[in-house]
Amino acid sequence: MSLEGLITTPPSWMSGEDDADGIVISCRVRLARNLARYPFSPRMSEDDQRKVIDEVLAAAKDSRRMTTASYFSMNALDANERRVLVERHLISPSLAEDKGERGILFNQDESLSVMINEEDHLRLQAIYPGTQAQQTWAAIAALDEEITGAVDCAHDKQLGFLTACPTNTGTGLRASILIHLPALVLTEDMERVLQGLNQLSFTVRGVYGEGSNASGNLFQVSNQATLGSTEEKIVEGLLRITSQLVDYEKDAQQSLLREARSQVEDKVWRAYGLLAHARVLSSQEFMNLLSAVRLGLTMGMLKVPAAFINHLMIATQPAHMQAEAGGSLDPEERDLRRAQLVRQKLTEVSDGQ
Amino acid sequence: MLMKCESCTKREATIEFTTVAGNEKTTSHLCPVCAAAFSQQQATEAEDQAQDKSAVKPTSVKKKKVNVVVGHLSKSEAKSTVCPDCEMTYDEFRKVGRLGCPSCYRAFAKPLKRLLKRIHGSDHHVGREPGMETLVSADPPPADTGIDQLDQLRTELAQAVEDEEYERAAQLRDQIAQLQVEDAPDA
Repeated sequence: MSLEGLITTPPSWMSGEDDADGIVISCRVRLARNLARYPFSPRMSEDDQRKVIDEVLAAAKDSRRMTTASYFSMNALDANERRVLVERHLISPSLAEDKGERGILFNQDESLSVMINEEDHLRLQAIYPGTQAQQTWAAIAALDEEITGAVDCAHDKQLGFLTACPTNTGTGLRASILIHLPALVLTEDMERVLQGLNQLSFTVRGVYGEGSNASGNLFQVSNQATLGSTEEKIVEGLLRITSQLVDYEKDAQQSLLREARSQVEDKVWRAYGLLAHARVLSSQEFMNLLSAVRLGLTMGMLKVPAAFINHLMIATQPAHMQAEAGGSLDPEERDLRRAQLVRQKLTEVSDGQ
Repeated sequence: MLMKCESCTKREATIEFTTVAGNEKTTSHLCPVCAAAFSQQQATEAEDQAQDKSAVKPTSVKKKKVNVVVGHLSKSEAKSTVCPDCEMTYDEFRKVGRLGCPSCYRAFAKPLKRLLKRIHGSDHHVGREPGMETLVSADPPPADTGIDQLDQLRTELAQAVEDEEYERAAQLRDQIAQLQVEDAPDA
């Protein structure tokens, strides 16, 4: 598998299945694991890093879940290729930017991946479309069984899996959903919802994880505590919160329709019109317009497939556009190219219907 | 929601931390690790004031040593608590927020246990072990586990009261009240 092939195919988690009418884009579970006989990543020598990579790749070779997987060493990729992997949610920004021997192993449909030598030696990740949290958990648990069964894993009877940061100790599990909540933002109810989530020990972030901004009304909701509950309970808790958030969002959409139907319809169709005809689109403007189009899909006003909206979101990211252009683009060139790409794709999808 | 912790400036601030001194109320935005350390520090300071003596005897012979509290260890204790495998001190861990190696968990067992309790509300793992066979049912979970959750929260509340962690206890009390309202018929 080559990285060039990657940029033209959307990852399987963007298929739009089980997405509660476009509201829940994807769900992801990651497990932090470390090998017992090495220091944690921040205090490792490059020699140790290489040994960890060898041990993990040897364990993964026998995994039935990773038969189609390829490994990419970060040092063998250029900066843009690493950014492409970040934009596809396969690696974290810090794995892309850190120094030392580190890499990513992922299967062909990108549903399962293993970051090696990030903050922890291993970060196993499963990512599935929509609200398929149970399937995501089943997939990652099976991979965890194979890998932690084959290596000497840092683990303690009382504290569970030992991680570099105490915020991950225990299960090492972070379960998250990527959810679109435009009506709650419009009705100014989001602040209240965020406070409620915080009280129930859930964290809310932007699309690209820690430190990233919420753009296009997309939020990433994840569990805070990793110690003291079973993995199943944590995943169930996230599912419960997800269905509540979907209900709140749908209620807010209904009240918008009751109070301001024509304005909402106008907003949706204007956004569609701008996307279909604009010549210059900044990333921020694009995300806002795409959010309105997705809202139109959820409300049944537009018949654009969710998978199409999801794919546009990735295809218009800077590194993806640069990879397609075969060279670096300055911000102005990117805005031109983004508008062109969106126009072209929208024509394709409306011709196909 | 998406700001950095005001103390370590690295991790994400997910906790609003309010301190009250006299009539003055200060609110800072902290990550779970720093918030946990600060509330330990506050508890120790309050104890100091109540007993009118230094909670921790300085081990150094230097006169007039300022007693900075790291976690619930004194600065000098934090510096002399060393992991035998990777030689990280507890003081260093507090500065970088990351442990050096798996053995640090044993070397720093006491202060870490308290820190973990503050972060997670528990210091006891109940989940998977390495290589554990997966028994995941394909069926969706039962729709309403509200009662289950209530029971768990009540147990945690009792534990928090026993541990004299009143901040945590107050949070749990509010969560329980909220769940009870949601569960009540005609609510």
